[in-house]
Amino acid sequence: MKKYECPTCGYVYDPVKGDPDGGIAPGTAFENLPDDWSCPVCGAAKDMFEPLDED
Amino acid sequence: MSKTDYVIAGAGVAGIEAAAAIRARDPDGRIMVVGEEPHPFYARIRLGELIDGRVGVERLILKKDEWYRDNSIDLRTGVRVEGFDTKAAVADLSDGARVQYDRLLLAVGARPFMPPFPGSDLPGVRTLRTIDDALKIKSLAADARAAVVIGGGLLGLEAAVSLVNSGLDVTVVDVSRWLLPRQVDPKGGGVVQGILEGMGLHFRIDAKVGSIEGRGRVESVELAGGESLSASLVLVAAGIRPEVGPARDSGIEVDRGIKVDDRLTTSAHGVFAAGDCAQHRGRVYGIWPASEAQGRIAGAVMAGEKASYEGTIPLNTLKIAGVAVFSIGDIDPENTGDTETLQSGHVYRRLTRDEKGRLKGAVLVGDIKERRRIIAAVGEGKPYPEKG
Ligand SMILES: Cc1cc2nc3c(=O)[nH]c(=O)nc-3n(C[C@H](O)[C@H](O)[C@H](O)COP(=O)(O)OP(=O)(O)OC[C@H]3O[C@@H](n4cnc5c(N)ncnc54)[C@H](O)[C@@H]3O)c2cc1C
Ligand SMILES: [Zn+2]
Repeated sequence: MKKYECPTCGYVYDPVKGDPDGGIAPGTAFENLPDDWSCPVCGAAKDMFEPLDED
Repeated sequence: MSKTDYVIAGAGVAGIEAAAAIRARDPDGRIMVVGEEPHPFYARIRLGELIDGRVGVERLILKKDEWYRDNSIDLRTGVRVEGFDTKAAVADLSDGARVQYDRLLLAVGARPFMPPFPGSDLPGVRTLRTIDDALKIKSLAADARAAVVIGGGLLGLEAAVSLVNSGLDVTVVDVSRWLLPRQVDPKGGGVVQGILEGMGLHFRIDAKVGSIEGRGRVESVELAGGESLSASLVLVAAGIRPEVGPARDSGIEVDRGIKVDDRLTTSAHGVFAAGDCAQHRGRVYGIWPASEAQGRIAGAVMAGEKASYEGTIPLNTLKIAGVAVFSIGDIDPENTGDTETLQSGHVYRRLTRDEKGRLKGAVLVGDIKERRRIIAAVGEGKPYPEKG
């Protein structure tokens, strides 16, 4: 499962951790986040996120 | 007097990133984080959403109590570092404690700037920086019909949208000739303005504030041109001033911010600075990603690692009330060179090229999906879009 990065603040969504405070269970793939989920740090919309190229 | 290895003044993103970076390298070092605000580290960027109730305080808190416990970080909220003696390496806390430290990080952020308008001290005139500021504005908004926001930058626009969402009639006043003059060209600013007008905001652009008036509390904002805007709430968003006071008082070199080198070290031995309070290579960033990076690197250096901070690329990816704005490089606001603009409704795209057709800069409003390719093309000085 890929990590995704918020372009506004740099927050990284890690599917392994999820976003428990936002009601997202650990193990939830980015693609399966609800459309109205937003960045916990800056509130940017889900569709602004970019896949992170792991190196 | 108590003793600790690391004292961090300020529990914002720079301070907390530093604490995490230290803990990752030094499992046993004693870390104390002293934060003046009553709340633990939170998403300051989202305060606008707190004003109109889109989120509550709980959702803004970014690290729960367990995080501090699991990482053995001694967090003192509601306590200030009043001052420190760099020779004795002792910090004085507002609760009376004196703490001996090995290394001290100043991650004390910035304060809102209040221009000296006549009447700026009237009740009902506010600035926005903290959770408590936002809650105060929220309660004032509950009783207000009209508000004026002075300053049409990122923060001013975000707050203005929150006030509209709260049901107020809101006018934004700004001296610049178009919105976001440092991020976008006039036409791009116009597109942003159009989107926000569609949400119900009013604008007075290219307009100067003469004074704020009211008997006992704010009643209106008087523009230099003669117009009077009535308002029972005025939000001043006129930029920030790095918090340099405690550093200056202890003899540390400050300019606009606390001066640091590439290792985030100040002029005093064992004292570091990071985030909105710091000035690195002449620059105070005032943005979250730069504060986060500086905090992380300061923490690594404090824990003994050979790390250095080279600066943060000042890419502008903004999100104003859900509207994405991106800009990079030379945006040629005066239209002197070869530019290509394309506008359809609320989506705007402008590319700036040199005589050889190489991409020099870009502005995107509404749809910013292209930005990765644009960043690469500007970085490599390549034509864009690449011809197949
Ligand atoms: C409403 C709003 C919207 C924003 N939107 C964006 C955005 O979209 N994108 C972006 O990149 N940036 C944005 N920013 C800016 C961003 O929030 C800051 O750049 C970032 O928070 C700076 O982090 P910091 O840790 O350096 O300072 P801060 O977050 O200010 O934290 C410093 C902390 O130190 C405390 N403190 C001060 N003095 C002392 C002392 N003597 N002792 C103890 N504690 C002390 C302060 O009270 C504060 O809690 C926004 C800011 C605001 C207010
Ligand atoms: Zn974000």
